[in-house]
Amino acid sequence: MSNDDRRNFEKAVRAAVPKYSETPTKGGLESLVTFGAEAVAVETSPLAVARNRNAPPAERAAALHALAPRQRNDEEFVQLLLKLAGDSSEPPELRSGVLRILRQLRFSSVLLNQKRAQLIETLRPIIDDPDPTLRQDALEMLAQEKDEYVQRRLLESLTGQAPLPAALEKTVQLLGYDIHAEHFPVLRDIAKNAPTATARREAVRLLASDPQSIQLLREIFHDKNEDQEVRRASANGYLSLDPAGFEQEAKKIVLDPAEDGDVRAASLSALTHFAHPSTRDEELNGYVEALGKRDLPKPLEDAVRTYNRRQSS
Amino acid sequence: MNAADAAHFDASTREEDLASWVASCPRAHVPRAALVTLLPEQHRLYAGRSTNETARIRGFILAAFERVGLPEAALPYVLDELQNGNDAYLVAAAAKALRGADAPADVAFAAAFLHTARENIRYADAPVTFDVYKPSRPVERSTTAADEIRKTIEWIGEVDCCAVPASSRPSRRTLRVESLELEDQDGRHVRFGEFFSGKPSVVVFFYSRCDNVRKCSLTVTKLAALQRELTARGLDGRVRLTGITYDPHFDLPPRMKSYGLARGVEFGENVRFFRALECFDDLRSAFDLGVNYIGAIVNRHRIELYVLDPRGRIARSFTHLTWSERDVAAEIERLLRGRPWQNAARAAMASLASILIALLPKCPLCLGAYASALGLSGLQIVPHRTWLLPAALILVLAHLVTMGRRAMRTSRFAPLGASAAGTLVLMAGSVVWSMPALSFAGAALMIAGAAMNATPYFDVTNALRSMRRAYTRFVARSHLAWPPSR
Amino acid sequence: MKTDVAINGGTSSTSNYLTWSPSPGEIWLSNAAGATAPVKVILRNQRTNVGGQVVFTTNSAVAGTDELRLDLPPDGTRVPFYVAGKYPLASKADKDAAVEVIESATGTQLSLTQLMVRIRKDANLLTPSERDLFISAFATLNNRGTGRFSIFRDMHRGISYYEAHGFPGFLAWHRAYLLDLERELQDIEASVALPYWRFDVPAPKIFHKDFLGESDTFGTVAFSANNPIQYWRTDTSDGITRDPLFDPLTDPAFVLSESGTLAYGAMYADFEKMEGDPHGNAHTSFTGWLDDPATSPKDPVFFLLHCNVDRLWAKWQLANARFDVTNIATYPHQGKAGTPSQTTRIGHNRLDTMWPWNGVKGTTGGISDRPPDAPGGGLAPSVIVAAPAASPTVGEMIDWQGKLTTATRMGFDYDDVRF
Repeated sequence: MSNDDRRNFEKAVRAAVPKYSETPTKGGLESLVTFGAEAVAVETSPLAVARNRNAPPAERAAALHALAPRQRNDEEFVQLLLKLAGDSSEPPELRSGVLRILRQLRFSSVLLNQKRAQLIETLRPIIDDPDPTLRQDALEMLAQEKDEYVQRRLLESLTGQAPLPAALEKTVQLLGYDIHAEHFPVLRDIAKNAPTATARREAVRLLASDPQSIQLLREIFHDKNEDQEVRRASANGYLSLDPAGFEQEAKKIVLDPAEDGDVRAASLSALTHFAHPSTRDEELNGYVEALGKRDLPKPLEDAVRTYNRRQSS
Repeated sequence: MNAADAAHFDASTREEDLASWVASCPRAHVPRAALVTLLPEQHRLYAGRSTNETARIRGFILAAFERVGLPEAALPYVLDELQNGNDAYLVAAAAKALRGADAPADVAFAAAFLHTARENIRYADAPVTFDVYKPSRPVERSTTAADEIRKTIEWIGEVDCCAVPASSRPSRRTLRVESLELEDQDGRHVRFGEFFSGKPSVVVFFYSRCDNVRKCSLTVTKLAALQRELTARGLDGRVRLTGITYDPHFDLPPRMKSYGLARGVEFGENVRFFRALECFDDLRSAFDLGVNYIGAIVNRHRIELYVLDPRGRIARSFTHLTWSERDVAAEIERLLRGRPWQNAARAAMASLASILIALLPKCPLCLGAYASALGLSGLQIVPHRTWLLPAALILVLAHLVTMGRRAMRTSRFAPLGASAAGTLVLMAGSVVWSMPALSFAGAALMIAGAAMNATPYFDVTNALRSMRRAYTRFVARSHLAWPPSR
Repeated sequence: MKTDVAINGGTSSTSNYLTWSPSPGEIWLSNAAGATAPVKVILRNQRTNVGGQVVFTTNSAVAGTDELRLDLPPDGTRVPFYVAGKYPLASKADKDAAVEVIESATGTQLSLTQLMVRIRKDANLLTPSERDLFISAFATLNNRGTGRFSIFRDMHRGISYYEAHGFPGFLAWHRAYLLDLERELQDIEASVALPYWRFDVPAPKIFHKDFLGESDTFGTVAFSANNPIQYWRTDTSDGITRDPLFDPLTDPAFVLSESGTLAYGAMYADFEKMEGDPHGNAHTSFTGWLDDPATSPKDPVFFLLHCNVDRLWAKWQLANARFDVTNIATYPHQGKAGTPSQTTRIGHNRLDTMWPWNGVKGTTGGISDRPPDAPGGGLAPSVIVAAPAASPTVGEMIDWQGKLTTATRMGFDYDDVRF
């Protein structure tokens, strides 16, 4: 299921929810209902529709959505959701929709939160599901729960011991839910050697928590051959781990007309909002004030204007 | 399985090998004692391991106590997980461990901890298994922390007791890190010896990215509460309150400050947070901190608070379990009431007085007994005086009152018990039945009670425990073969 | 001759912030210039075609008018009045409104008092200046992970879930949470009011690099190089992870509409279902931090999402006249935890104080389930209002406008919810 497919599915679900919002939770045969081109006599209570394997997945998911606000602490309802999510014979779009309802219930259902163990047990097999959207949903939900098993699986895939369960970039990103995972050595490797800038950027984001990576972050920040998104991500981490060192390096970058405009602007933005006042010295102030009189690329122009306005206020 | 192997486990030990060894431990005293030696958080076994791996190992060891038997020395670790743990695997293991006690009554005191754990884990539970170590796939059969807690509560049954074991220990440990440089939350530098002298101090350890609210966040919150407690007692200014970060490279001064302020700490000259950037390992070693790392990241730590005397020596440590502000404040007050040598001198004088009173002859027969005991054949027998017995009784009473007051202050009643028993026996031998042997026995008991009273830092219970621990360590390392398991 | 005006009991311009609710004011002759009889003055807006507009009244129960005529004693005795923002004409910049006092007889201006009609607005309709001031204040509060924002993050974790979710006090708790945060932002930049994300209509300007960021294919949010939110840091995470399942440029989130939400019913017990839909569905219209209660406040959009949730509650209150906190239709759980009147979890009964502002931790008197710590202390005070208390009860969060008694007004209002 692609992102567009999921989006269209959720739109269809949303459109169908009002149909089930006022109908009784349970009930017997009520009327003829048209599903597509076929009119069939079916039970139309939302629970019945949700259980009906012949009903379109969007209708079933809509019925469950309609039930969720009032049935959020109902044992039968929650068990149905867990069953549907874990049933590999059900359509993947329905299961994806059900996972979304389970996420919604994490916000409002006392009962579901008491069944965290059962939820985790349901999600773990889904990380091996053939459908990539389901896999990614389950991976992310388990990573949010800081599940030890999924952290192990993510790291094994990043160290080549197993296939990646999701895109490299996403796999790296999911590790970020729990700093205690033992991922820094492999992240340093990805930050230096990953084939895509996005993957390198994701690794650099997480290295912002590793004091042993300060030197690497500094190098990336200065590397004019590196993608500007990766450099800006490294600026963030460098600023967190070594604010004083970052400020001096950022100042040099701002003063260097040969530098990338976005990196200069991002550096100046950091100095404007977070730097120690002593870093915003006469040299920097004068240079930036003079910069304000030139034609500049928009991001840098905005950054210069913000800096000068702050200094004068 | 060879119990001596435990002494060789270190950071290079494969966790699967360790798990096999643990799984092979039989139900016997030595193996369980060997397992306990692997539980201190600072053990080299955990150095360089991830948090998850550390938790797996510790949980597997704790769970093994159900099978091999639960030694008393494991209790702090078990109770820590139940009271403060947020990992379902570890909490389940701790609940299982309690069922390794010889009888439910032996761990009945843990019922309250089990109820706390049940509340703590209610919304943080997960499926776990101890049948297989580090399962490679989701397993068919699993348990949960809630299930294990329930089983243990049922096993213990209804209880109406009990005092919880103390989590604090007295100490006289000298730290020897006077020259170590610290940086505080405002970026000011000071040497350890310079700051931690002249006043009693409270030192807690924490780090800002600790994800267990019941440990670091609660510790600092309670430090702020302790600050208020001491102020209410009029003691602010006479004591220093400090937090030192386990994570000096990440916890920069603004981060430490923000963390403390958010939890109610009011910083000042005597209330500061520190990081030891250059020589943290020295500090770690000096305190024997219950912490371990993977790289620069903490992988495991315990709750720990230290009360230092005005000379910067550890006077009392509170570890593993949540400490009470009242207990810490009481320790501070004790230190403030006098310098240790003054306390010792006072105790010695009081004890000497007790000994003298105990030795004073209280009847003619006692005089005779002393005389013959001393071999003073030429000694004139002191004529009996009618005032002697009442005077002796008054002195004995004074002796017992002195002992009693000291017992109330120190909560150590054994010396009083010995003296009281000695008094009864002495009276029986001297006044009731005129038996010199009985009189001597009574006097000896009284002298023994006075002698126990004269050693202020002698804790019998802990001494016995220390001896037992030393014995088990000796046995574990001695390469002796053991009887087969039952 | 000169007059002085004090608004909200303050003597400096820091108090000169208004909402739609009547704020108390005082006016007096600070220089009577020899007058021996009362001086007739007119209070009015200085400019009627620009900036926020205000109305005046002498009785807070009576609707205000564009002008107010008063007689001022020559001895400088203070004369009370009320002033409020003129719905829906909110300010667009700090102190862009002004109360002009003129002498009736001569038309001479006797004083000019700058003020702001500070209102929570639709974030998608903010001016660039309003937007930039907001994100600058927010970034400063976060201060790359070392600022006081960490307190707000720590208030909303898994361990504190039941203080704020799954039970009826959900709306009251979050109202207090947002107000606390907003006041901290106002300490940094007084003109800032928390904007809301109206999630049932498209809001492309919010999910833009110049505002709260644009997500890439993997859900990492990108910002323009001048945007200080690019240095956002929470826990140990840099940046923001947010992957919308809908197209934020063209579509609303997958939520119940506003009209559908308001149609839940006139009783609170029915309306609180909105915790699931639209609130829960707004969260789960994304993957990433927003879709898990424990991580959701790490994303700044969380606060705009919840601002809209609160706005919907406010709209429902207005539509159904639900301001009387003693009415079970307004809030059904009237009792107090630990007493026979308790009918729901501690922290959710009307008379219960709320964690963490009450500082209650762990188990207290046999009533357990409070989180082990309580970060942040009491709810931030305001220079313009006295309510709610630093440790507010559930009930104290109900009448935010001071409809029934002006003392309960809390100093915020919404651009489309009148007084």
